[in-house]
Amino acid sequence: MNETLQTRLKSLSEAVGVSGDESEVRKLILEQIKDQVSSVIIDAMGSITARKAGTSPTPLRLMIAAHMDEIGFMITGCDSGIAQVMGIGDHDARFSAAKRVSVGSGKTPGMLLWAPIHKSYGQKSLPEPDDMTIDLGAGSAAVGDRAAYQGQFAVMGEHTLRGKALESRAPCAVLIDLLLGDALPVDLLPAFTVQHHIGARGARTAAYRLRPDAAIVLRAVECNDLPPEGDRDSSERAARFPLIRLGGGPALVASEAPYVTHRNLFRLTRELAQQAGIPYQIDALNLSHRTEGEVISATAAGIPTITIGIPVRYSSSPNGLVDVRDLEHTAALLRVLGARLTAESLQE
Amino acid sequence: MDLKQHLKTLVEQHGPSGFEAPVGRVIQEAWSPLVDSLEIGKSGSLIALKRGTQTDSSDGTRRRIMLCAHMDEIGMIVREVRGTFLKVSRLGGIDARILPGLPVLVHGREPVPGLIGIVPQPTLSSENQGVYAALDDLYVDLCLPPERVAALVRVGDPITVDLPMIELGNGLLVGKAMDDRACVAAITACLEQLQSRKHEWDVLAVAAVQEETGSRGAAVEAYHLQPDIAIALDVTYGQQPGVSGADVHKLGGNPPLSLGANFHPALFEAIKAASERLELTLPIDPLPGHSGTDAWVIQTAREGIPSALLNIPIRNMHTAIETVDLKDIERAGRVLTEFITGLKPDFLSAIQWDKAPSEKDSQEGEKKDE
Repeated sequence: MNETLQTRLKSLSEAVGVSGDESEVRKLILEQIKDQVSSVIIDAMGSITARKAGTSPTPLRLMIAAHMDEIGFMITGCDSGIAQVMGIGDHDARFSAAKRVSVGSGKTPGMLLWAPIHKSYGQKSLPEPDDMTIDLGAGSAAVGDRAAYQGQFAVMGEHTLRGKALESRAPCAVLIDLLLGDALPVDLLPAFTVQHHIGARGARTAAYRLRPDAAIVLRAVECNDLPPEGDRDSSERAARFPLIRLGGGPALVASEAPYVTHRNLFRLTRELAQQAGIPYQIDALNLSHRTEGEVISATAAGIPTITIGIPVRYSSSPNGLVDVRDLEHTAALLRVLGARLTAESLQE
Repeated sequence: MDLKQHLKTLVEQHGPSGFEAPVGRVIQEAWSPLVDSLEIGKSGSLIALKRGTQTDSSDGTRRRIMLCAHMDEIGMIVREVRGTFLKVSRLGGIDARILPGLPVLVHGREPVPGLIGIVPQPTLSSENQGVYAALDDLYVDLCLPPERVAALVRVGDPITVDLPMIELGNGLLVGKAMDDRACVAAITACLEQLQSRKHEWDVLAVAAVQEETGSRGAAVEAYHLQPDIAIALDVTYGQQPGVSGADVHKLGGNPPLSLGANFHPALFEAIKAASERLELTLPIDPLPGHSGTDAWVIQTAREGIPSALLNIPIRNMHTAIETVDLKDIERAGRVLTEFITGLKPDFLSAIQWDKAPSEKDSQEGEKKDE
């Protein structure tokens, strides 16, 4: 397995960066990219933008965005070691019962309290994150402290990595990988953005600052490859989604309703993947929340934007899964794009 | 012995009901220097004997107290192998709602790490939106090629949660399997204290199997060992928001002692008196009927065994974050030690029920004993 990528993803995954409080992740990323980029700016929101100069005499300016933040909680009160919280971001509460969290900058361990089955038998409906409480034991927390899940980062099988917040940190790891590699013809304009989970807000200001010729959003796409794969018609809802497999290669997102990715850029990406023999999948997402692709594509006078998804299983869980080969293939695809993208290819 | 480290070793080891051997070995290692002999019962329970200073009675019998904590933990068992994934059944009263996202260990031909997965929320049918996943909805994701899974895992292999014990500070410890390894640790603490304390009665320390599937280990060992009296140790509900009832106890508020039909009232009083000698007040845990513990089956073994139940309160019972106060474990150990060292050879006559007026013979028989 790619040990560089593994080590990088481990440190990113174990860092805590709940929406609005991304500084630990930001510091980690800055440390890793600082020698490879120029024009590093941390904007008013806290997003990082920078430039890795292209080799072309008239380089096209290509923004690549990846968000740094993860879902979590904010402490709203703490009495005798028991903290009240509000949820931050879109939680899937099916993952939250009796989980371990880290609270505040000191990463005080806390436990999401859970009534024993003997006393809560038959309770099936999911709680709102705002109704959860955290046991800090002897620890204390200040109002406003953020809490994030504790993951258990590990290598599983031959190609899979397990850990927290991979939906955010796997795209960050790929983008870092790209920046640490050789310069490409295009100007690479990385944007490590904040506040994705509360409305893709960092992407807006970062895109406005950069106003690139084109943009690629790196994000996670949820795998839906649990068995029975061949029986997808059994659930009408399941059949509405394209099949995305872990290890199936980067997912080229055709649309993230209501945003449709830039047709020419999408086609070019698909052709380049085919030519380079990089495995890929096509996804079409129907999301209820605002996405970075939607926001960036409509920034300023409009920016040709596509979204590339890294397959993640259990993205809202304290422990998700990524296949390292998907990360490598995503990085390879971005390199090919960076080498072949021209102003003409963007035109209708 | 460092009790905290001992507890960490115990809870991080794996031993679901019916598959307790690995944790049994850890307990054996800890108890072995503290006792006179060890044996493994026919159903797998670990039995340690620490002999007291009593001399054998004329018929060769010795007075013996059984301390019983169960060493098994709740878990799952492989029901079906589906390529990379496993479907599971319950092993004991595991709560499916707490499982998604947890790392587990599948005890196959070799230990295989897994992760509990569920299908993505948007793909759920409308009736499954907004509710917890049921056990049947869970997948154990092994991230291995199907042929590798087939080579390593078989239907019937047990699965346990795989998370370390951590500290919340102030003596609060969090981990899986505090139920009932916290009580095993209390027995260890007692056995250690007995090294330097004189006791007349023999002590039979039992780490029982299969409590979570119906107190099966304790039942057969109570029959096999035939102790004169028994104290079972198990966890009870710890105080936490959203959990109420007379059986809910404060963490760090001393180990509760149960009172009810399952327990011999005079034994209850004697343990209470022992704790008072230590200036510890044990909260009373009212349990009118079935205690749901090993004490229930020990009490009715053979012609009946006077039994008691000492509890250690834990938060989030039957989850991977069972939370215990180390002080309660230490104190449970001290209460056991104080009670055992105070046991006189004639203790059984001290706890006998009201004498039936017509049973003259038996009264005379007892006089002879004294």
